Amino acid sequence: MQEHLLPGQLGNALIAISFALSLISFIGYFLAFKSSGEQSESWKKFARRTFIGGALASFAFIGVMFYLLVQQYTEYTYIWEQTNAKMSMKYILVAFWGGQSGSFMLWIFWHQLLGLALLWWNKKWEIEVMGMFAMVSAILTSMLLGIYIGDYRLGTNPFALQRETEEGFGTIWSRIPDYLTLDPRFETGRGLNPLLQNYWMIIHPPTLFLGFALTLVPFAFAVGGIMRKQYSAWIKPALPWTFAGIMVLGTGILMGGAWAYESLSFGGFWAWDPVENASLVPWIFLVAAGHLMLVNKDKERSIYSTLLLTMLSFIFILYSTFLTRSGVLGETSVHSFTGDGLLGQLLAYQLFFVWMMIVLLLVGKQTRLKFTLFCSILVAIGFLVDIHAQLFVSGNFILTWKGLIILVFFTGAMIFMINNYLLQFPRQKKEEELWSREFWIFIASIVLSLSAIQITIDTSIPVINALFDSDMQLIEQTERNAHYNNWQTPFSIIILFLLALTQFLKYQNTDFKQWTKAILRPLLIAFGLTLISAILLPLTHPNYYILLFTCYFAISTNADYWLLILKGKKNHAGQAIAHIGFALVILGALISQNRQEIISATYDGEDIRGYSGDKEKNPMDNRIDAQIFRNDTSEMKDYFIAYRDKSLDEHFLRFHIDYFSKVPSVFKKGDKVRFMGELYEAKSDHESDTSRTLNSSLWQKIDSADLDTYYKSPNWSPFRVGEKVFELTPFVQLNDMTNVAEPGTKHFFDHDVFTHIKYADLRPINDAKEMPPFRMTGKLGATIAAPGFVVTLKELKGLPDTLNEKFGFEKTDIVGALGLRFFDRLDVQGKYPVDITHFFKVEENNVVSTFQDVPYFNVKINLDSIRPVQKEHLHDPNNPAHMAQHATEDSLAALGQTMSDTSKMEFNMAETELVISFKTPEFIVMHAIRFPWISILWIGSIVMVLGTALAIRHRIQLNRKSKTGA
Amino acid sequence: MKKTHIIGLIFIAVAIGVIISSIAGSSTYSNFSEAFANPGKKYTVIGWLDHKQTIQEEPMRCSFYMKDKENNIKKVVYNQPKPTDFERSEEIVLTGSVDGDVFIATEMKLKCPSKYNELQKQNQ
Repeated sequence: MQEHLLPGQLGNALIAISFALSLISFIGYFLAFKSSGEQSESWKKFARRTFIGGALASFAFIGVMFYLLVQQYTEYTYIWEQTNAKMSMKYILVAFWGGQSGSFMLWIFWHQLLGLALLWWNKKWEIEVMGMFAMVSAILTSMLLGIYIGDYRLGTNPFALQRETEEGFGTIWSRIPDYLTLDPRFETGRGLNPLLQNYWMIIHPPTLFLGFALTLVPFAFAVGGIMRKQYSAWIKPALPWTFAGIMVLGTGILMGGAWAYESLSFGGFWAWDPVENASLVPWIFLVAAGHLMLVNKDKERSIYSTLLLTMLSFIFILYSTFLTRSGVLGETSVHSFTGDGLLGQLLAYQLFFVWMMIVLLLVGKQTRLKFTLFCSILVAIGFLVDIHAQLFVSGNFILTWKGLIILVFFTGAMIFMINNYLLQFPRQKKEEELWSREFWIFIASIVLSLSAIQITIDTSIPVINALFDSDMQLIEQTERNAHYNNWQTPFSIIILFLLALTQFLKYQNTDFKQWTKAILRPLLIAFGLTLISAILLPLTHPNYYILLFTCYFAISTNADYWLLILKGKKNHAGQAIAHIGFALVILGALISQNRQEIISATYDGEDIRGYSGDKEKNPMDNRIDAQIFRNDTSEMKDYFIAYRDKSLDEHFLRFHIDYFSKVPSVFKKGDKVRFMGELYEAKSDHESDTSRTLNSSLWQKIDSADLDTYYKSPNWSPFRVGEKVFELTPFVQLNDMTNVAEPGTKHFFDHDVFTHIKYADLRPINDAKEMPPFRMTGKLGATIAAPGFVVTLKELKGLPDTLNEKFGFEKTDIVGALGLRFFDRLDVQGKYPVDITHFFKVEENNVVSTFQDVPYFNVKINLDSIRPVQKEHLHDPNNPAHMAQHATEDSLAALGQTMSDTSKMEFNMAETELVISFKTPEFIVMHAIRFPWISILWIGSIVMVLGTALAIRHRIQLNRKSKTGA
Repeated sequence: MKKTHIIGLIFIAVAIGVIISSIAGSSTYSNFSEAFANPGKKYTVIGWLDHKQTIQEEPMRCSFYMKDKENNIKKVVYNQPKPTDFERSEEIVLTGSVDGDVFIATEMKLKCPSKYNELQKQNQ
């Protein structure tokens, strides 16, 4: 098979053409802006054509990439990484955007499409808006160029052949002409990361990237407004696009949450993961900007904040791209890309846009030049000095040139901006009225910004570390939720409260008396709802009750406004509905997170491994997972669960878990049961109540019984298995790279039951239905707690040679006997011990023994080895680890010696430990969580999207009317 | 004083609060000697698996020996099943605290060599 070079060459040519045309188009628009009249028109026409040309070239190289993916030409690195012959064709789209370059292409696709749409609809602002679009087109396509400028590679070429990459270049196979046929590694690709092989991955990324692309529209209009010095005229045409951005980006983020909930096993829809945060922050800024735009569209007020926030939302889109694609996040996030050498480029674009935003916000040519000079000097210093050189060290704080430059830049920029704003920027002297809608929406935008800043700073810790050589760590995953919730709860409370109060505030000024009257009814409704909700579902912290109330308050005010004032009409109702949706999202998140219950936790708080001691003293216990033996039922909160079977479906190993209802146990007179290590007999026929302790008036304790009677009696439970309610099949994706556990979830209207596999035997076929043996270690005399039993290592003796043959050994064998005593886990008094003797022989310093059944306990044991206590060679760094290995061998030799000499086991037991292997029937360890009312969150998401869509439609209608009116 | 000034001041105050809390709240990477000097306190330690000693595996727990950046080797107990590909890990990031003579890890992150890199290694 020959290489297919033509499509790749075509693709590369198209990328270069698209890049060049975008750049030319940008220059064309720039010249159109600088010139006037006839000349400007002709430049504009030229730039427009080149932009369309660039966009078409982009669509063409995207098509080429699709062609390569469908054909699976594995000589291309991207194809080899993303596809696999085993992969089903429905994931071809996921394969397309699953990697670094493909996701840039997806962004480019939407970006160009939006550019064409704007050309069509917004001719009035074409020069400035399309100029920005052409510039960003050039920037995005430059990420795909993969050309070298000196030693620096600009972009990553998506059409690179494996033999051309840094890793493949010059290798032996690359010099074989027919390597595609000869080298089996090229038969099929590596294939997609298994986490991405999910239907959410088909819809989540395109939605998110359309959102990304949409944030540029308000940015471009704001730039246009500043350049024309029409500080508010740009707002009206930008408004529908802005809210489309809010809607689409918001949907994309929520879809990411749905994906995490449906197919990741961390048990939730939001983890404050750096990548999630990185797309949430621009959304928050966009929401703040959009609301300021709405309030200020007709007047020259809060112009500076409106412009700043609008531009910040795109700046933070770039920052999110920088964080996730430059490699700075490293191992801190599950879904970031590796560096791929884009760091310098991404950083340069980021800084360029920050510079551009500040220059645009500065008024006066002189100030702009001064600021540019200031930046140029800093950049020049950056190139001249060794930026990693340390200038100042004090304790943990290290100041290097790079840190100093950034500090100076930010301080300088602040001074420039504040000074210029106070002295030059055109602003209204008169302040907003206290009781006006404008004022409180302005406050809301400030609170939103603070919320975004908090998330940004905590997410940026790896960046801060890189700048200041510090060693700070991102918050540990287990504490992340608590940390962010502490900050974001108050912000949410204020936002929701404002969202409720401003609904009845009027523009300009409000009559206070009327307002209080209007607000009274929804206020009472909200109090009522909060009270009912709090009684039915108590929350854990007072703050959450406040949040709960504000959620209901926001819902009741907006519903009141929509139903009673707008009389349910949908024309003006968009915002009220969207706000109800937002409040529902927060409400659903609050209740489902705060009231989530780990139902796999054992009801008696026992550790599944058998520890029953003090929780504090046993930090290694596990009381949150359920261990279920195959074909056995165990009680789990409201259900009995049974692990029925497992089945292999392609590369998914599915575990079939049956859920049964719980019904009261029924006993007959004379029934015997075990309870807390004692045996009881029923005095009469009866049905159990729900009490967890045995009723002594119904049961007679039997003080002693034989082992058979005791161990064959069932454990007492007030419940027995009822009928099957449903089945869940959490599964494990078996994969060459890593096995991934994916949850199985049962959705009810008022709650979800979420389960995932934490531990299982992953062999698809296992006829013995036994777990692979696991080993436990203890000194003689120790008691080991294992799942299902407790065992004491009682004694170890050498067997006299004369008895060897009696126990099935050769006369010359060195035979030892190990005495073990097994207990029921709950038999704390040790009333029903099961003693066994395990024989083994020592051969060439190794223990040889076969697995032996333990009566009454569903377990097999054997002695794996006897070894000296593994000393910690840890305080001595000079002691290499292999010394420990030798020590083990030496003393086993000594052990063999002693035994053959005296035929008795006499050695220092204080320094020896026994390693015992256990084989149990097959079981799984499963984690299960009950999320109440998580459906509210998803309903809220849909309501929010619909509401925003209505608001956008209304806005477009208004814009049309004002156009035809004018 | 104008309303905007008051708002501005509140804004700056909260922003500073955020920065301080974020910096104060984040712990730094440490090593075994520091962690063993302060049992019970939470630390994050980076190191490598000591392949010369056995990894002990139980259904819901595993223990192994890890060498930190100062070449101290300590026994680590991790309260989760042994991750797949654990033996192939290049670097281990542990979070947890010391109890007695073992480091009890509550969170463990692995850096694994990607399959692609291995393919390249085969080539050489």
